[in-house]
Amino acid sequence: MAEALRPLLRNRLVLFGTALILLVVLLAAFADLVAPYDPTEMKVADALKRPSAPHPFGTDRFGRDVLSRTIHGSRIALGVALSSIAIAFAAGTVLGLVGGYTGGWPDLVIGRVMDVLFSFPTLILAIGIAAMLGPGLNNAALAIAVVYAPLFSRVARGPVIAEREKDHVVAAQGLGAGWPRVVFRHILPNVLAPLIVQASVSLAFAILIEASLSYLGLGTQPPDPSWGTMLNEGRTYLETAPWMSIFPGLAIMVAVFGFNLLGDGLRDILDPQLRGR
Amino acid sequence: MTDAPRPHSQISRRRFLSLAAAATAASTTARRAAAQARPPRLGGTFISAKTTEAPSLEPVLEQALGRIRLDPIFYNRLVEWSADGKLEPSLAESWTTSADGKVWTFKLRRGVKFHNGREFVADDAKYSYERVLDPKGSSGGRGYLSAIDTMETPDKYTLRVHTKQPSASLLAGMAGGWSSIIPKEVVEEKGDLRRIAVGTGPFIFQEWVPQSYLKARKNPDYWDKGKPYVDALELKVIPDEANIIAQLRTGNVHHALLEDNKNYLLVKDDKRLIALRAPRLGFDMVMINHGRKPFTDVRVRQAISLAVDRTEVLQVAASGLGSVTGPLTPAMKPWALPVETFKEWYTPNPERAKKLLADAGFPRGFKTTLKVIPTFPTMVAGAQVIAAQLKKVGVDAQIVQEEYGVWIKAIIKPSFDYDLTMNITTGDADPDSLLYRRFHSVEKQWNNDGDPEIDALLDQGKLTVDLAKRKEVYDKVQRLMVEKAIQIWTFAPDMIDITQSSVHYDQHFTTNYYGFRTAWLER
Amino acid sequence: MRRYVLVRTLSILPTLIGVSVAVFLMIRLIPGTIVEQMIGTEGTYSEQSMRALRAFFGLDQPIHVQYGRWLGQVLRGDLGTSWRTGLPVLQMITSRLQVTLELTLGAMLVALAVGIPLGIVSARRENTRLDHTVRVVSLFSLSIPVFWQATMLILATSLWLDWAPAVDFVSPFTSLRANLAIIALPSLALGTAVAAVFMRMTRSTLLEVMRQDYIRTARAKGLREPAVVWGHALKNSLIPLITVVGVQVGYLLGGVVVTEEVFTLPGVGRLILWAVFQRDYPLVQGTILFVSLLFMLSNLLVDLVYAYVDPRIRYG
Repeated sequence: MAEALRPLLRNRLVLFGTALILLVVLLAAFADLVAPYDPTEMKVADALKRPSAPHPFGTDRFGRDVLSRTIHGSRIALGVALSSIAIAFAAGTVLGLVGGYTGGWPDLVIGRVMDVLFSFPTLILAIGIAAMLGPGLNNAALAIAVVYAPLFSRVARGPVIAEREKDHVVAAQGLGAGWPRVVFRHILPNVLAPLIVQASVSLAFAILIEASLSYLGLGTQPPDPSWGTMLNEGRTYLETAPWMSIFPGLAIMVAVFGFNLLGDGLRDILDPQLRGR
Repeated sequence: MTDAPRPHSQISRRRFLSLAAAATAASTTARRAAAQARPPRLGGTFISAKTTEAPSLEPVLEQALGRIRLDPIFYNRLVEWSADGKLEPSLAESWTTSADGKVWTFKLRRGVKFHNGREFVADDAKYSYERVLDPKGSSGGRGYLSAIDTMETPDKYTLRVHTKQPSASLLAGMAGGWSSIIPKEVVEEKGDLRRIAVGTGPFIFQEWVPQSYLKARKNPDYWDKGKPYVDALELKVIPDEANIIAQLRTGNVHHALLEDNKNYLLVKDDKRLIALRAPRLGFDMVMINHGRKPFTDVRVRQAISLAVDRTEVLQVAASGLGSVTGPLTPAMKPWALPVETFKEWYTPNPERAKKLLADAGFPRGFKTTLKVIPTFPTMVAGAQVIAAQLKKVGVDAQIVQEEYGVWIKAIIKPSFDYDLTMNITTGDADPDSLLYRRFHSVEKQWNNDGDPEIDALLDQGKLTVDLAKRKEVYDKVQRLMVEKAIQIWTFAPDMIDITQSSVHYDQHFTTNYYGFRTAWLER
Repeated sequence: MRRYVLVRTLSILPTLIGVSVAVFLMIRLIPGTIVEQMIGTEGTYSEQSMRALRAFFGLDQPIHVQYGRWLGQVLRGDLGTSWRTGLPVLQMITSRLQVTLELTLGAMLVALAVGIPLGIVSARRENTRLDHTVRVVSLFSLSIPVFWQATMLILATSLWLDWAPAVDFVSPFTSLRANLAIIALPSLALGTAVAAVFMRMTRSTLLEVMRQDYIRTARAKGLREPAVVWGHALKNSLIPLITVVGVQVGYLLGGVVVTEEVFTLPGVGRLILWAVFQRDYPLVQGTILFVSLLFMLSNLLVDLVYAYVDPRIRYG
């Protein structure tokens, strides 16, 4: 692993990304302790106040403290994004690997089902599933997972097909390795790189889809402070109270940026050519 | 709002603008006054923007969300509401009632042409009303015209209507949401009027791209000579109101009716724009399902009424631009009791609320749900404030957002699947039209219950033609409804129209589309 | 190869059937129908009119009958009539298709034109300041929510430049200049996120490929650097990239909904959204089926190019 550590500069980026994510995770874990106010406490008299000493991020239209809401929002963002993409990653990758490696009927069936899911515009499918399941965060996460699974399956499948013809794979098969060993030991590492890139990108969009779902009432229920809901609440106040949108927007960017940096770093570390050394 | 220092260039720009605004505001008013004296300039295309539109052009099958109904553009009714709340002749020139009040004779206007060239006759009115009343049809307007028993057309320009009982609200029903006069042959040819509009109105249908724009041109043969003043009308759908404000500011759009009143605060000092404010017929409320415990107990409902601070709700949901309201909104001028009448129940009193709850068997409050449609901004804002207020007396109302299609199925008869729900209505100018089918036990469209005392009064109000006596009846109704907390009336947001300063436009208290008939452009 | 083309093309049919079943069921699984919306809370409810309305829309028929009827219509080339507007579904789609296609194409062009070159540059100058800057910037652009970005742009231009994006869509055939003015900003907003994806994909696969043994062999053989990069590495990087392009088209067709909504472009994305909320079954079914077909055709194209580029891939 130490040999896999690249020159200092890239390492710094990975560390930075990890630090950002840790920040978000810690905020999520200790939100109650860190946030100065109750995120749902309303003081209508203090509505729409600019950032100042008592409210460093200002207040929203109900007089709620934006800083506290942003901190608590990390819980929802992380929870929904991680759970939905984790499910999508696992389910999609397995399906893509199985289909790509086996070929024939399994590939056909899996491919068709994925194609059908794929053919729905992303947001529409998410809305459809969330509408079927009903409002609430868990259902929103499930909807996002279903929407993104085909993506992972497709990203996994292509390289699998390319990989399975490769010398080292054929060699392993020739040596008598069973398919799980072949798939997970020999193929997966080479497929992992684009998958990880895809995962880190998907995390961002998962947060954004959750925002859209929340706007339509299918995700976070008020007064829970999801960053997406905050962005949408702030949209009509962009001129009068831009801080309502700036800070949750920044929070999203920070979290997503962190994930992307980490994803890049992981990709480098997991590069199979390096592992061998 | 501006308590922190701003960058230098922005200060100067703002100060300059506000000074300029003050200076030109005076001249704008003066200009306006001078303009009123001038005759209207004819011509031009009037462009109005809104955030949503009715799904189709149908005057009979569509629900009566007055703010998005297009009828006044293409159609007329026998009688119509004037801008200041009186019923005035339109396609009916005059009418008389028999001594027993059960026979109405309408003398209809001659020489009125439909857009397809055919002359309007009494049979058209009869056909139009029959279509609304058709029990197999889907018109929601049946309740408006339910007083009608039979109709006959003794000659081309006379319509005689027989009612079972004298009706105080028949005329209001004819002026109301679903009563546009339509031509039979067009309906028979096209099946319905969803995608075209053929009426007697001031504008003729040209083109409609759903959810994008609607184009109409002036009806040169319109019976109200001289109107409309503009040559063409274009209604654009721009879902984002911030964008509408941008379009107004840059002169791309002449007029818009605000969906979210807080945007008024953005434009009221802008010298390029004029903001018109008037009380609105419609209002926001919290509906209570009388069919579910614990809301069957009047004390619980009263407790809720005492827990809600309506002024605060108005402040948050509509930026204070409106008024707290009782069962009849201030826009219903002859009928509405002043809000002070209800101060016993409208002044927030958490202590008394808690006591009432304890009396009803809930000393520690209870849990319930409050439904909200996420795409209605005043509802969403109001719900959060109200939930917080209810929490203070121990009622833990969990907010549940439901997309409109889901919500409507749950709320209406026969489901009544809700505890509490936010709702919004465009209201009605006549108290009987507004209250009867929603609250009377026979119909109980809302709230899932009727109260016998109120029922009796509503029945009486339907039949009492004498104005003074009728007012007494509805005064009693309002007091009882608030006392028994049939539902929680919160506020009526002001109707705010924004136009370019070069645009002349008059608000109409029912729906702003009447304003297009008399709108004109200075350039 | 010819056999592959034929089989692959025909394989669209079962997927199309699958989509038709899926969308048919999905929209009916969402609670609420058009009937309740038409009555609303303002209308007068009656048992009789509810029944009459349901019969009018065929909602009282058993589900397989409804499906069969609709499928029969579709196979005859008739996508049906919108329940809400009374207009033919196909007409409603085509009047808006131009906008969506243009937006998707515009975004894709932006993404390819910006993403791939940046990816190549970044990979070739791996670990230099340039590489890191490009990576950081692309990550940032990925992190900005499109609708937020768009709204801020509209706000900024209206306040400071006194200019607002035109609301009327003008076809490029009517006025290319006006059309580009309208489509440029949304294409940019939608395309930058995808550009970042392409940049990252190009960079990562190119780096990977360049580390492969056969590249080292080519270098050892004395091939010059540009030949190595362009000849061998890029060609082999194309395979995963083509996959990603295919994936991104699907993503774009979905992301188009948000972009259309914010920039209020009269496209198909918004139409679908609206139709779902109205529970206008024929419109939902017809539009999604149509868009799916388009998407499947684009996937078909991707797969065919894929197969051409890598002769080892064959239909299983």
